[in-house]
Amino acid sequence: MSSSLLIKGAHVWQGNGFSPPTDLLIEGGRIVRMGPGLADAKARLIAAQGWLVLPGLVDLHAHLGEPGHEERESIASGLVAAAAGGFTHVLVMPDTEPPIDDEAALEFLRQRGSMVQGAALHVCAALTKGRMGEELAELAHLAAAGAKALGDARSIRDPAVMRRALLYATMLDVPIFSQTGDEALAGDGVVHEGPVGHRLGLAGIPPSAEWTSLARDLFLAEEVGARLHVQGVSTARSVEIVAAAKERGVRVSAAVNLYNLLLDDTSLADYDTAKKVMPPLRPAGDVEALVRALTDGVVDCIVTDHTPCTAEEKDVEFDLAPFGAAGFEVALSALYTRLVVPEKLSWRTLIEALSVRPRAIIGLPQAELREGAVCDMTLFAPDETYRVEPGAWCSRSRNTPLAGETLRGRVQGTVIGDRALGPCFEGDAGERRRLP
Amino acid sequence: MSLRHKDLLGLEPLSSEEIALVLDTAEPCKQIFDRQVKKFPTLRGKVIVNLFYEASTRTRTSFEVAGKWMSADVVNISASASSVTKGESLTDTAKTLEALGADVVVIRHRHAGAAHLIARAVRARVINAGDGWHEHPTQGLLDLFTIREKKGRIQGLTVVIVGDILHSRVARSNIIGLTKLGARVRVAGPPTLMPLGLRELGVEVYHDLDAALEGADVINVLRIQRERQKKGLFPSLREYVRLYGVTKERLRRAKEDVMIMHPGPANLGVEIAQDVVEDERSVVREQVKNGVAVRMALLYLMSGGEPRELQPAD
Repeated sequence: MSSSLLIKGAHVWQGNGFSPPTDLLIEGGRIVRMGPGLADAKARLIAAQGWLVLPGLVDLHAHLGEPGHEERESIASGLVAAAAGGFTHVLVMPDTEPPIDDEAALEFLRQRGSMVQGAALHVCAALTKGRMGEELAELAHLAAAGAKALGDARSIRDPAVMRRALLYATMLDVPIFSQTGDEALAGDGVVHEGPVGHRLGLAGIPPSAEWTSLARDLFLAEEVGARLHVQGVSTARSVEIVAAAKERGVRVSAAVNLYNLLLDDTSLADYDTAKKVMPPLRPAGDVEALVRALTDGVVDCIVTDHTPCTAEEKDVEFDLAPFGAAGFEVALSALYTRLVVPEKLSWRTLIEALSVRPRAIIGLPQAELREGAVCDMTLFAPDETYRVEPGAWCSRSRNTPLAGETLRGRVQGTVIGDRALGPCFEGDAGERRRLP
Repeated sequence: MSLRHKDLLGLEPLSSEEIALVLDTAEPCKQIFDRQVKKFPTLRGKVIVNLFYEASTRTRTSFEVAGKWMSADVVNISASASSVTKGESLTDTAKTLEALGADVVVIRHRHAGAAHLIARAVRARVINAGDGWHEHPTQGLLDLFTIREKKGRIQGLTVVIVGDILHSRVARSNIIGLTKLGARVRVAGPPTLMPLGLRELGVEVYHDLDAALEGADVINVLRIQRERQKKGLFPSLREYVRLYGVTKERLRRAKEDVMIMHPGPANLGVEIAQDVVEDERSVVREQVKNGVAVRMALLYLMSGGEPRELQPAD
């Protein structure tokens, strides 16, 4: 950073609440002073009255398209979009073309990521070669090369392969990421199997596809003593399954996808393909159970499962559209508006789920908001109201079911080490966002 | 009163009054069958496009005849299912048809929601002629018309729908229409061809056809597709016929004057016996005629017509 920053009058997260209005002086990528009434003639002034300073958000589940589908998203556009949404760290999935299943591919991603003025990139490398679910990828090599997690971003069909992978990984200090959803049971289904999907005439995915794959992997991890992180917990019964495993002492963490927390399956009535996601949107009772599970700590974190798709891919018959929705640039506002403002979720739980616990899961240092700490923070203006306009996004894709919605609270910027990104820093000494 | 919707995508959005309006309007339309000159001048100058992505003889021809008898220009397009893989999107096709002057687009497609997709993309009126497993609203309307015509009412009748409920748009539209008009609906079939949570739609679920037929006023027999058996949804055609094939013997459990319906085309000797189709209580041929009348009524109402103004040309 070419000069220092003085953030004035913000409420800083203190672990269990926000501070009274405080100033932060930032120099050389660190918080050098923190307290009321700071002054520094050289520093660039950021008027942050009423804003909140949060520990930098971490997204443990994102798909960036590159390599293979740069028309959906590139590493550069994705990391800039993530930072614009308040995320300072992103874990990308290996389901690219080719998949990230060896050190060379992993190194390519890390190199590309390091060149971007955006969120920091971390990689979940494939668990099996080619993500085919047959032979193990070189897991020790991948771990040594810096993979923060190992998983195929799909459920592994053969339980023997999954068990072997879990067992082998017990000698590595990297969690195994298991995606819920038995592919055979899911079949050609496109929505949750239930009365809503039936009325729409859309093929259903039975919720047992999630329960059985989840329970299977939990039993396997329990048996071999592996550390498991489950992605895509989306039903009340799944929450019970995870809770029971945690009670037995299984080393498991769990994540819920953004849109599974925000929408239920009744919203599918217009066949809007932006709402075609995996796991599918569930009935309202499941959504309520997921919100409770976050507060109870059964579900550890919220992830965007950011899945960019082009307009051409999504503007087709519901059956033919790809699964997935983009989430980076709407996640925090949407969670704040729909869950925190109506007091369904506390700020404390939201920060646990978006920063504290995801860092613990992949072994990132916690973001500390105190004098002397390295900068890793998100600036959020809770009172700004705006309309979601995906056309103005940094992401290359626009596929969100929240397009046109009015949301409360908006990310103003992020500071990651010596990178200050976002609209509040633009136009002066703070580094400009470099568009990909 | 008129139809307030731009499109007819299903029976679900229609009120019972709107359904009754279509049925009432179909009555004068049906009289055209008895006339020498089968023409109403009503839709002169209008262009109706039948956009069919699935093979269909009866529904397409029915729409074509209905449109022509209303004096519209009717264009038939049999789009191959592979046009998607050729890179042509459905919305693109629909916008092209609109640019060519289509006032009404009638669409048949193998994917649910296809009619919704094009209805959003174009200003032309869209009629769903069957979308995947979702709805086949004009079939639902013609079935309702046929029941009302023969039985004099729908309210309070017991209607049995037998067969592959899960994959049937005909079943969905019938269930929705019949329950809206106050009929008691029973569905019968094996659990693997029945969606979970069907009871929430307000129907009674039977796996024993004989029990379902007890005291029935109407039986509507669905076509069974052999590919369902190949996919393993039931063990064999032989077993299916034994459990759910409709025979004269079986119909004794129903009311003596039970009305026999089939949307066609029938697999004779499979879901329905030949002599049941030819039985005097069968209305299978009448359904086809009524299909034209109902579609004429719909085209008329959707063009903003008032029922009392409907007059044949001389």
